[in-house]
Amino acid sequence: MIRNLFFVVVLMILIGCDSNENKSLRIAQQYSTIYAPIYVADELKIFNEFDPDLKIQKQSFGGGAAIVEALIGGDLDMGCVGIPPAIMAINKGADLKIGFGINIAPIELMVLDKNIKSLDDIKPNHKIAVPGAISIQQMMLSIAAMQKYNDATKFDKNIITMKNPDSYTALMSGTDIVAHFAPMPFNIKEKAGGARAILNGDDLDLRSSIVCLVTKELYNDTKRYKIIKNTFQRSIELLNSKDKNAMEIISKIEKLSLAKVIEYMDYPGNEYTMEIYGVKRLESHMLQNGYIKNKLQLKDYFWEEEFIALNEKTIN
Amino acid sequence: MKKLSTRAIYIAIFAAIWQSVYYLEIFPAMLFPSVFDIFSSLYKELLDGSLIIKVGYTLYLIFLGILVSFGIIVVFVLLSSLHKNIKNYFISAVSVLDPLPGIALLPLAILWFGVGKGAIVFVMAHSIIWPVLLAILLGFDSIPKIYKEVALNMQIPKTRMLIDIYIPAAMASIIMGLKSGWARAWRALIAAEMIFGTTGALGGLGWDIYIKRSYLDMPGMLATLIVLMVIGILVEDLLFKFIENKTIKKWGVVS
Repeated sequence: MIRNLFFVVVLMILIGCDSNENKSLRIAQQYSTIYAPIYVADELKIFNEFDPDLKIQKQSFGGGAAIVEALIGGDLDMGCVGIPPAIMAINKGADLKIGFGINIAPIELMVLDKNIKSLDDIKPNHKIAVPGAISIQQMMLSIAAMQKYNDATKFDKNIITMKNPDSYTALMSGTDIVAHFAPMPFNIKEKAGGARAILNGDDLDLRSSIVCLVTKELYNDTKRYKIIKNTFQRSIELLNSKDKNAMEIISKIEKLSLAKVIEYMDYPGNEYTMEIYGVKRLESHMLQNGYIKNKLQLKDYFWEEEFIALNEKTIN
Repeated sequence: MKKLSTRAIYIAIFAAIWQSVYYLEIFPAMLFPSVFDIFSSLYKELLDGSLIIKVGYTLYLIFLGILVSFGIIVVFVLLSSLHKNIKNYFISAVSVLDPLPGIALLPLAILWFGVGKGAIVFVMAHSIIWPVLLAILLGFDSIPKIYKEVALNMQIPKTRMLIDIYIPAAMASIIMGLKSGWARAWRALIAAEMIFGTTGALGGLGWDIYIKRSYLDMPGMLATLIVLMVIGILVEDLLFKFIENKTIKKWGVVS
């Protein structure tokens, strides 16, 4: 009798867990100001303004590749990555599409050595740090090399992949890493330390978003997906209006003074928006240079019509 | 031969289980490819020669690491033979430094040696030196006192004592140290290569895994893992067995 009761209790707990499961959202926890829309939404509990019962399950990952794997493996509902890893995953046949963007990040190729004034001054023994293979930084360098020297692989032998904090230390301490293709805030920190930018997105006429990959299950759950979109919309509005609470959260998470947070927010090129740019341009570059194999339609990359139309219109 | 066939049976069973899991679609096929895809990827890389180059580069790096480590170990052993206090100092150093995983030192190594071979060799040397040094020093300690006394009685010079008495008598524990040094260096090398690497230049097997992961090439990645296992087995079963047969077994130190 007691044993039967025990099983009933266990069963009820399991059923309870299951119903909670539908009410939860599993997202990748990411830090750095470019991911601020995610953690501001979480810390200010904006998700719950739209649905009081929605539980947020956060998981930390080592980088974009791990996030994509977790999405494919069904361990995450949503994860934000740069456009090249998103293109790679979708092109390889993962059952994912881009939901929306969160940020357009200023990314700059920073150098400390005064003798390096442009890409022309990069010598074969110079090392350029990027945060990963198939990162937006690697693609930008390859686009620049294609434009300038008609050889997309020209800097492949110079590229070294390292995490951004390590690259920052390596560049500033004068090791053999002479350049770091740095996203915000590393570019700002490096500038403060005397480094200069010799290449950025404007030089390539490329605006590249940080995009959220969304699983089919989440997208098909229309109600939950709408809540998520509304939440991110709200979080982005708060960031753009420099809402005091949102700024304080960034200050707390990134361990920055409020003044510094405002400086970062105002940094030229930093923009929080759900709009997505760069997919068409990057896809064609990746296809041309053999990083991906299949030519897909824009509708294969996006869940929603509005982003297909937007990317259809834009050249980059 | 019997061992080989038992192993082949185990591998076949494992491959069958793997393939069944693949057919049952328990995991997404993108992350859990079929055995055939893995082997076809392996075959393709063997055929175009790229695998040989990567294996060669990794073995070259590990050889470099072992060479540097042995140079340092020889110096340390000679120094510790000078005085008991120096030896104790080294034994304390081992107990402090040995638990530090080599890969944890990589950020420091990058600052000191830059990114490239220097940093990787440093991390490997750290992984090799301490266990091997400890094995040698403890091996020397465990030599029966009577051997040394006989040698002293016969007034054998110090170098001959080292070559003819100390090394043979301590060989069993030196080989144990070598095995653990190899295993740790191998892991450290693959881990270091997965942390930083150069996209267009020559890279080893760890870097290959990293790149294939970025390209979501799971069959390729698993093919590289198979190569890592095969190399591990070959070194353990062939190289170390050969050394043991030529030394401790031949000398009758162990049966």
